[in-house]
Amino acid sequence: MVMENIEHVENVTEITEEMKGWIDKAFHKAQNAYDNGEVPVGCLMVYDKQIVGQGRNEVNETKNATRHAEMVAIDQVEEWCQKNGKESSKVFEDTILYVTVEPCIMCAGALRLLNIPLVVYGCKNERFGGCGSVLNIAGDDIPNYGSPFKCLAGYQAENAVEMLKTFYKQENPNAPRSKVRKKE
Amino acid sequence: MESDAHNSSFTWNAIPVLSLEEEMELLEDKLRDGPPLVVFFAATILDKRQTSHLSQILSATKPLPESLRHLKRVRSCFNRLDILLCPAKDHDRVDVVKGDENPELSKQMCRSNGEAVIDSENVAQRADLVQAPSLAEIFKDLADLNGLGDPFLVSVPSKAPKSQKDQQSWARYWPCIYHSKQKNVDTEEHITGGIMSETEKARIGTYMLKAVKAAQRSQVKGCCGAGTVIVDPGNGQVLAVASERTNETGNPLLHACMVAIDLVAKRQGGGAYLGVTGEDIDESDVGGEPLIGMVDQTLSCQTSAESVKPHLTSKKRKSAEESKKTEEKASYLCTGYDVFVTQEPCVMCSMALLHSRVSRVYYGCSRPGGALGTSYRLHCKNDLNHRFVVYRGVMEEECQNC
Ligand SMILES: [Zn+2]
Ligand SMILES: [Zn+2]
Repeated sequence: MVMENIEHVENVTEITEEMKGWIDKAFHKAQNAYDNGEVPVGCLMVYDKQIVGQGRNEVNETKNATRHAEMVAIDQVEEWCQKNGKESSKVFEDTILYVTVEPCIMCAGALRLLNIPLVVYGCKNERFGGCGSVLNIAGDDIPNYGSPFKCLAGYQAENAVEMLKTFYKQENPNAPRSKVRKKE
Repeated sequence: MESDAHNSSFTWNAIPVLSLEEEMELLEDKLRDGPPLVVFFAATILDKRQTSHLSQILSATKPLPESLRHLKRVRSCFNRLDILLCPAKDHDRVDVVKGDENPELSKQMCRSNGEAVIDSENVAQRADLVQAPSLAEIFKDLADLNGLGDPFLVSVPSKAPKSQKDQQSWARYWPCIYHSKQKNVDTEEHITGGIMSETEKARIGTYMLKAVKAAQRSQVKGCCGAGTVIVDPGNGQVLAVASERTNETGNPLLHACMVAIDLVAKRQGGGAYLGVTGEDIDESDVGGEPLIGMVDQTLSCQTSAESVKPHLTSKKRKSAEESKKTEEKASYLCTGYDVFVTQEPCVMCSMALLHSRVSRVYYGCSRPGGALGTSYRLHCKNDLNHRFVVYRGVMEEECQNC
């Protein structure tokens, strides 16, 4: 299996004005997560210039530690495809993910399985980052595991970090404090 | 134990998947054929009646460093008693090397020391031969050390023995204390070549069989995926039985582990995959009457085995405690749970299990791209916030063929 090794890119200059607009929208979702006592991460999936899926962290709500914003949005894209009579595997191959925080190792794995070509994110995820921070699932050569994807990072990074910091400073009413810190 | 006769021959072996560091350490241990060593000052107790008095003084004034608490303070050697004083400083260590490199010096020292070198390989004996400072130099502040001979240097094991075998063979350097109850009991046991009890194998096999059957059923539906079972080891309760649902649902992310984690969430009143159900947990559905018998036997046997295997007892109790804590505090996570999966989980599933904070994962066969041993070892990555124990090779043949 031949796969090109994609380096972990952090290049704000490659982020277009249009992309910036989408990222700004993703922050609304992150704020929504924050308001609901979830870790403030939000994302959009954009296909053919329209939002086909969006999500925010729903870990506490679903009592399922895997319900990160990306996973929620992916499920929405599936639904959108069913409604619109599109083949989801084709749609994912042409969909860009905009997310406020670097996808974790799990989500990066999911994005590979779906052959998402590009991820634009705000700040790094030092705890669980799967696009270069802890591991480079985005770019590594992993047999039988979809295709590597490119990342553009750094736009609105301070904003994303600030939201996370503020969130972790306050008590989360829905989960014990010690556990909350460990998620995303 | 009755069930041992019942399950006397297992064709598989549960092999611990270690971190790279652990594996290297294991290899080094094998190559070195002895413990890693550190140099200490020791002295012979001239008046044996002073032994307890002297060890009290030394324990109070020169306690052993935290990392060296496995060392016994006093050893019995050639009909005499030696007591550890304190770790030698760096420059003293250099002296030991010099002494090793200079056989003439060693011989001289040997004569002046008056002790015969019995085992040329015995580093401890060679270290004896090197000159050491006087007691007054080491203990400038202690006058009450009457009854001690002149200090000498000795090489002692710098880490705790991991098995009784190690403890016995390392005693030629310095006697050590062996604690069988360590953090990663099951891994430690296997690192040192311990064998998993038939009882434990029977327990693991029972649950893995459920995972195999789940995988087989998903195959009937046209899937090629794995089967996953999540168990609370505290009470033996099966919490989720899942198979891969990608083909059936058209969602390529519905791997068996993802489904199983969501089933646990559903039990707690949560869950995200609305239409996706698990396999029946009911024992009769999985293996029929004999399996129920086997489960019961396994569980009852566990209790009887506890007296035989003390470390197993502590492990089980800990799990029970953990799961109780889980219920009280964070019931939506899989804290303390065991996971049985037919194939090595992929990156996504492995990280999902880590996010869910499972305790142990047992899987059947490794596969390319697997993240618990093959392409990555997520379960023992230092910079991730949770670690868990992983075994591979459980019912490998059955898992391969399902
Ligand atoms: Zn994630
Ligand atoms: Zn998977």
